[in-house]
Amino acid sequence: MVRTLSAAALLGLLGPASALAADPRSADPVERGEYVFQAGGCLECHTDIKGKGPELAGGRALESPFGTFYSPNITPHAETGIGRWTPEQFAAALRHGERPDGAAYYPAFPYTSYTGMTDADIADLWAYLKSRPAVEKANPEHDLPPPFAWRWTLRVWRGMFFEDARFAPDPTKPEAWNRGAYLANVLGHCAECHTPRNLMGARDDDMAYAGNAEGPGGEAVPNITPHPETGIGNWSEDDIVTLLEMGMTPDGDFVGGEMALVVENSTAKLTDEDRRAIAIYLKSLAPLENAVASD
Amino acid sequence: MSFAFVTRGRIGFAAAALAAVFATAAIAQTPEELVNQRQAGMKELGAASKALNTMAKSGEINATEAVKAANTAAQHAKAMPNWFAKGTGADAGFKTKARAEIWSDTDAFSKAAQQLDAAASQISTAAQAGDKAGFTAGVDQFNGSCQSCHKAFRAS
Repeated sequence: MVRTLSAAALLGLLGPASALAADPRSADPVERGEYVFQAGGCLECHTDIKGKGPELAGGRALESPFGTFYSPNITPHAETGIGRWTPEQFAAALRHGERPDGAAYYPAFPYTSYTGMTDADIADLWAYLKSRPAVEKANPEHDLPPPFAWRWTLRVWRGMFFEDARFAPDPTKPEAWNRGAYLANVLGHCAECHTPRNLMGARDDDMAYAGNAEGPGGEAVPNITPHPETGIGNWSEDDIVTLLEMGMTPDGDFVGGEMALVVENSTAKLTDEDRRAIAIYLKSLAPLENAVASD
Repeated sequence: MSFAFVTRGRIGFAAAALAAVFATAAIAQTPEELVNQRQAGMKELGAASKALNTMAKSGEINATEAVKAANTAAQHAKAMPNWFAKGTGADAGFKTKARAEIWSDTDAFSKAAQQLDAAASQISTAAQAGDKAGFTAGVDQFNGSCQSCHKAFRAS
C-alpha cells in the first residue's frame, strides 16, 4: 500500500513536468520530433482515443463518404508497426503516399499535405516515433465498398490529384507568414478537413479553407477564410490564437468534436509564436464565400 | 411497525405522484421547444463564458457580473439533461450539432453537466469572497467542463 502510494506520489510529481510542451529548438532530435508530431496532429488519428486504445497503435475509425478507414499502427513494433521500416521508407510514406511494399496510401492519410515537410522535420519525427513504446496490434482492414476497395486505383488517383512538392517559402512574405503557411498547409494539414472535396475525394483547392459540409464522420467543418459572413472575417488575430490555445471562440463558445481533439493534442501544445504564425497566415487568405451548416 | 410501513408507502406514493407531475411538465414541452430553448440557453452560456474569461484574463473581477454569469451557468447546467431529452437529436430530424453519444452515454453526459454546475458555484463563491485565485481556478474548471463535454458530445 505504502509502495503504491509513493508510486502515485511520484507520478503526481512527474505529471506536470512531462506535460510541459516539447521545445522545437531543443538540441535533442527526439524532443524536436515530439514537437513535429504534435504540430502534425499524428496522435488524433493514429490512436483509437474513443476506444481508449494504446497510443499510436492505430485502429481509429475515420468515417468518410467513401467508407470507413482504420488508421494503422505507427509504433516501432517490428511485425505490426513500423519497426522494420527504413528512414527512406518513412520519408516516402509522408512525401509520396507510398507504402514500403510500393502500394499507394488512401488520401485519408494526409500525405497530400505532409509532402511539403522539410528533411529536418521528417528526420526528427522519425527519431521521436522510434523512441515510443512498441505495441503489438495488427491493423484492421478498411471497410470500403468497391471501387474504393481497389487499392490499385490509388496510383491513378495520385497521378491525377497529387502534387509531390516540398514547401517553398515565399521570399516576399514575412518569416512569420511563411512559418504559418508551413504549419497550416503542411504539418497541421488544416486544409484537409477545412476544404470541400470533389467526387473523387480530392481537395478542391480553389476553395481551400472555405469549409466542408461533409467532413470526417459526416460532420460539417467551418469556413476559416476571412469572409465576413460565412468565414471568420470578424475574428482578430488574437481571437484565432485563443481558439488554437484553448478552443474558445470570440463569442465564448468552445469547439467540440474533432477540433476539440486537434486543440487538445496539437495546437494547445504549439509555442505562442507558432499559434500566432498560423493566425497571421489564415488572416492573409482570400475571403471565400461558402456557408457551411452550423448550430 | 406496520404503521411505519404504511406511512413510508404513502410518502413513496406521494413522491412518485410528484415526480410524475414534474415529468409531465417536462414532457409538455415539444421537442421543437426544447431544441430552441437549449440553443438560446447555449448562447447565454457562451455570453457568460465570455464575461468570465474576460475577467479572468484581465484580473479585474466585477463580483456582481461574475455572480450573474455563474448563476446563468448553474441554472443552465441543471436544465441541460432536460434540454437534451430523447427525440431532440439529428435522428429526429433536427438540425443540430448534438452527437448521438448524448443518448447512448447519458451517465457521462449528466456528469459533464454536474461539473459545470460545480464550477459555477466555485466561481460564485470566490467572486463574492474577492478570492482572485479561486475565481481563476473556477473559470479554468468552467472552461474544462465546456471543452470536455463538447469534445465528446458535440460536432466541431
